[in-house]
Amino acid sequence: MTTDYVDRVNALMSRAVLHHESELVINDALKAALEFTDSLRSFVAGIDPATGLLEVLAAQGLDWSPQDKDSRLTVHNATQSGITARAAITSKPYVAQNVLTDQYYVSHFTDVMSEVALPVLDSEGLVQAVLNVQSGEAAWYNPQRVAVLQTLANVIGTALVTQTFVRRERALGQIGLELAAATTREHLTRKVLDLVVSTLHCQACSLFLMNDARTQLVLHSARGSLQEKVGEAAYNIGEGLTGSVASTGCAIRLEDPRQDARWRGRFSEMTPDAMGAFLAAPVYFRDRVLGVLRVSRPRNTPSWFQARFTETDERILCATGAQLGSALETHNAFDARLRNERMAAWGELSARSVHMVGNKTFAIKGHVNEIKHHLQSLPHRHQQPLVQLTNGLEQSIYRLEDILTEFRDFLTATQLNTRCCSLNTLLHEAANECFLHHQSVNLHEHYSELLPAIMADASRLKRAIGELLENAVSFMPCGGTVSISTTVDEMKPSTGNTSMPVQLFVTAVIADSGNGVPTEIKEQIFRPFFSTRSRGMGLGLSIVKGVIEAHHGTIREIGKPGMGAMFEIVLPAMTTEEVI
Amino acid sequence: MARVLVVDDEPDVQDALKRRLERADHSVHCASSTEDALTMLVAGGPAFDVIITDMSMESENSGVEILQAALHRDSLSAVIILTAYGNVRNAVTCMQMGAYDYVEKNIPDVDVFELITLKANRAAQQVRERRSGSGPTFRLGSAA
Repeated sequence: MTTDYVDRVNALMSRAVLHHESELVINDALKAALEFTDSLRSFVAGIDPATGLLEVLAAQGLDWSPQDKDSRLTVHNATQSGITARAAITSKPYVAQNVLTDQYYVSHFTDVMSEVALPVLDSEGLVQAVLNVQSGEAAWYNPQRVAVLQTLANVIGTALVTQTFVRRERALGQIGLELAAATTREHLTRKVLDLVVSTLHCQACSLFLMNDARTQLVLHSARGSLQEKVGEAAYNIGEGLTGSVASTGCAIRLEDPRQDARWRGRFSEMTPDAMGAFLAAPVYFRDRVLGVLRVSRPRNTPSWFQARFTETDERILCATGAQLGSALETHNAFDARLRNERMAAWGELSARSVHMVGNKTFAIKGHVNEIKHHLQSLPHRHQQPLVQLTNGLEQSIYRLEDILTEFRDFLTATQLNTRCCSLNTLLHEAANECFLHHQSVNLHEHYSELLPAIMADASRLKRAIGELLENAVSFMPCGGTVSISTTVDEMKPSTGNTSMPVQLFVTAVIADSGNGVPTEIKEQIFRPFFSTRSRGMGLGLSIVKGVIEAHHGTIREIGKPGMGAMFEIVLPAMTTEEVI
Repeated sequence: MARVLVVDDEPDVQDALKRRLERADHSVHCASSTEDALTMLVAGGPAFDVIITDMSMESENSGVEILQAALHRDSLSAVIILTAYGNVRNAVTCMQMGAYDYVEKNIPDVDVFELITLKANRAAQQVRERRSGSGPTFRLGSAA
């Protein structure tokens, strides 16, 4: 028996490990258990990791009906659920030497006199299945037979663990394939959620994604009861466990989330009483969190059963989050490219239209010029009404040209021809040009002598500054003061990474003593077509913003309403290498 | 009176410029494309004194091609470039290549046809002086 047995176990182990034939290995191990211990029947009951239910995976021996093989046992109470449950609960072998007198034994076949139940452990020491072997003889399972069966239980454990790893490996590979093949973001997230649910044996899985403003996590898709709240459920960054994952970028794994101080339970997949194990991982790309992927299991499993998530589960969810983040970013980049191409087409169309309208306007100007010439040869009394009409026509053409000018400035705001410039000089020149026409307004200039140079399109930046100055003056019809100042600032990167180089910025502040910008319109003033004046298209400040941003800078209005407007422009200074 | 060539692909613009310049006693010929203009520039007879051409017609740089052909035919000719607003960079390139001047077509509050006529008259005067040997013999660009 010894040689046969060792050969058989060796063959089973290699099939389990090398060929991943878990179902065949388990059935063969059950047959071997019958042969080497002269038993009547054997079966393996697996534990569903999500619910704790015991489920017959395979059975060998006499009189098994198809129903028996499909049966599921709910192991609620350790004393009423048989010795299979006893082994599962205690993680220890249980031998019922005489089933007629055993306190835990629940009879199914009447010919059984003794039975052994052996726990099959997984790689983390948790019971994943129980091997049961039955005999028609009482006290049949002596230590030697139990040892033989224990070895076979280990073989079954190896087959099950290998099967789990293979499934997970395939699922992760599948996620990679799905990510590459998904044509839409919805298709992608649906597939990933399905795979997470099956790989991590959880009943609920939700994906929250950052909104565009990066202030909230909004439920994007879900498996389980939260499906109805897609698009509605939202956490602030840092709020609750889900918000904490987004703010820290770290996964959270808890056996009982209700005990955690961060838990809010605002949007749970189940009621607080039913809430069991919780696991959430960031969806990220490089160092940027794009969302949170979270899974949970219910509490209403048998009390002995630990429905917790393992460290391996956490690693899998984190890896899935990283893969999903990378795929989402690819989709975002694709969308952005489409948007840019479309915007570029609109830009081109607009530029051509402006050109054509400009040409036609030019021709009409020529015709008006001719009419004016002919008018001069008419008697004075006939001239007058026609002169008024041609003057009106001429003025309308000029306003049309104003609009064309503004529109063209808007279209070309980002087309820069940069060179090394001094912001102080640009500000001073723009102020000189503007204040030649507006002597009722006082000008104060305070320029930093240490201001580093910037890379800029001098004429565009000067026109943008001129627009701000004209704006300031136009809001002070009774005179006032405009002050211009510059400073140099050091700005560290926001990531807190101190090893990154420090970037120097130059800041210009243009402030006036007018009424300032009311709080309610501060957000809107830089939007295209926003204007509080009747003339022009309202593109002025949006053009200024476009020019500043094309220089990789920022512009804000930081004045206090009622105390004058204050525009702050921040532009990157040239680095020493650039200057050289 | 000067021999003037107007090049523009917009018939209305051609008509308007022709009428205004004829009123200033110039003899005005028109071309509707770069190809037409190049043919007229190399044709027999006296060279044009002043060439007024749109900068962008078939291409963004049609005006440059016409400028080069005109100066190749007679380096004493004066070429005035008409540009759309905001295309000053092209116009500056033309000035560097020997154009007499440039005019933006859509300047608000300015009667550009009067401006063009003024520049054409000055250019014609200078070309006449140079050809007769009384003016400067070589001139590149003008900030007039």
